[in-house]
Amino acid sequence: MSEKTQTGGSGLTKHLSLVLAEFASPDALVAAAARVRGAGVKCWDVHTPYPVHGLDGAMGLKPTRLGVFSFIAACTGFLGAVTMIQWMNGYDYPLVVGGKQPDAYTAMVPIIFEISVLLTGLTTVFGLFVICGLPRHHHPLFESERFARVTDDAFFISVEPKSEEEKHRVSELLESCGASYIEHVSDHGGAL
Amino acid sequence: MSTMSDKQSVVSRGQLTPGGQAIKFASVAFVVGGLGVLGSVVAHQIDAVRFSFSYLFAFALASSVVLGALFFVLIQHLAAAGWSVTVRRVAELFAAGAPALLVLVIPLLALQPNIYHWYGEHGDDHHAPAGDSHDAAVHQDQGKAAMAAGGHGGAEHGHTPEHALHEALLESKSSYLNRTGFTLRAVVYVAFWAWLGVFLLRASRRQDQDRDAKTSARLQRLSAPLLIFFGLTLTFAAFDWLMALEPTWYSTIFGVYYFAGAAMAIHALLIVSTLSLKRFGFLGEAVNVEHYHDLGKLMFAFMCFWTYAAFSQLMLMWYASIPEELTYYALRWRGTNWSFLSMLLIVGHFAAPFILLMSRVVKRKLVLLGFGASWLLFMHVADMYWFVMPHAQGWESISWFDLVALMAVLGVYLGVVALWASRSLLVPIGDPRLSRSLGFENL
Repeated sequence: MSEKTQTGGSGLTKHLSLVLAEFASPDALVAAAARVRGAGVKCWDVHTPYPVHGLDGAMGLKPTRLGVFSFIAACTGFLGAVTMIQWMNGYDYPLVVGGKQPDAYTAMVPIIFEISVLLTGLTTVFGLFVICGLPRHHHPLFESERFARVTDDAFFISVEPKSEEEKHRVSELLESCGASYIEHVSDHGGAL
Repeated sequence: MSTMSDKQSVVSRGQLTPGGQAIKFASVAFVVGGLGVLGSVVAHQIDAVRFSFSYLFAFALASSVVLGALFFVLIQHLAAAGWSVTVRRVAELFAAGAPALLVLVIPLLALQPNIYHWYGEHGDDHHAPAGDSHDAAVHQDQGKAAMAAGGHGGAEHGHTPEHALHEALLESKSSYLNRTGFTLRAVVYVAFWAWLGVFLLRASRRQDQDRDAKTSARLQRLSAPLLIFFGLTLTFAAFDWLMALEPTWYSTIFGVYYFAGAAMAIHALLIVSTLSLKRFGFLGEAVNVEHYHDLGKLMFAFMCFWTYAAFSQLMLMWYASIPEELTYYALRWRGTNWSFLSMLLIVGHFAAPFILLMSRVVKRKLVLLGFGASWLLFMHVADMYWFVMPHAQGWESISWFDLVALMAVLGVYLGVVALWASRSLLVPIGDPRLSRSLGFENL
């Protein structure tokens, strides 16, 4: 499995190497997250089985930019639909149906709504894919046996160190934060 | 985790007992209401028909607030909602103002001959006020629109085949649309709401004392059947009081439309009233930005739902273009004043607040949210006006009649609400989900 990933996946030529730390409770996790953030670590994430209150603040997460994408998509859909129907029904091929004005806005509202919502929905979903770096079929974290419990009752912080030196520094930091278990994982498989 | 210790850490008992302040507010409300009643008596002397419509407008508004509050409380119980516990008591107080409607419905029942025209009660000139500044040309215009459906108010009223058809339609509906039925049903609706509002507040206040978690479970069980009766009474009240203004016109989504406005209004009112309470030093951190964010979301959602209901009705009738259906919109599109009000609702009740309140940032910025909620409350008043007043044919603009009717009805209603508040805590401290509400956080 790991051999395949190494040689096969062209997108994964850069080998990921991570420090994974497990914490006993959500409180310990939040406290540790605040310290990791304070230490200026750049590439890191927190994994929990359920949403933990106060974690976003402790991690210093900024509000997502996804809403901006959605808003632009909604405006595009709205204007596109208005232009399209007005041009088709009102100008290019006006057709009187049921004695109504060909370019009546009342009849256009459902179409405008549908197109705006469709474009917004698709943009939001695929924008999320782009922001999260999806699709991604494998991640070295799944090499860790203990990490399987993250959907059940375990709390983790993972850090992607830039260098060997940073890896040692981060491991020490996480240990001093009270991590109950620390593991080094990489897509070579197993501990380094 | 004890709810009481949690509670005390956030808010002191003094911040939860409005007592004397509420009494003061009630006195002011009753004085305003009293002035409104005096003004109403004068208005009724000047022009009983015009005033009757003003009164119906004010009554429909107060009822929508009561209904919105009942809906809010019932749905929170039904869903066993944790987030809303700290704002639920204020909604319970608004719902417990329902007994005021028992008194306020009496003038409506007395004034109904001026407003509704059932089969066999067809005065020849009921819409024309004797000798006032009635614009004959306008009257003629709307006569034409109404005449297509055999409506009231045409110049040749009473002598046309359309009129005969109109009478036949009224006769076919007379087993439902008649004075006795209207009166009995109105009393049943209002009595049910009054009982329900007081019941919900009392049950919750008893829980303040005994902290019995079983009360919450019981209220959850009861809420389901109560919501069914609530939905039925609301729908039929909307049919009786507002849709029957034009007895030959009907719309199946009409009750939903009235409900959507009421549901939006109560969320707006909860935002405005709790912000005011906080300004006077009550509630403390028990109601914080997280609760406002959620109230704002729901207010936004019900505003969109109102638009959905309003547009569903409009589009079907516009497409079908049947004269007996179109009278409703013909009435609301005649002249500059009514078409302005219709446009104002499209822009002010939907388009502008849709853009203003969409962002999460705005819903968490209390100044902006408070402004949006106040604006939507104002728009709700305009919506109620739009429901009723176009039917007061011959009058094309607002009048001080509307103001005195509003003062009378809202003064009495809010006075009763404040009296309940003076003897209640502002947060249901016995609710087992209180700590969840206090620690609530939007993720």
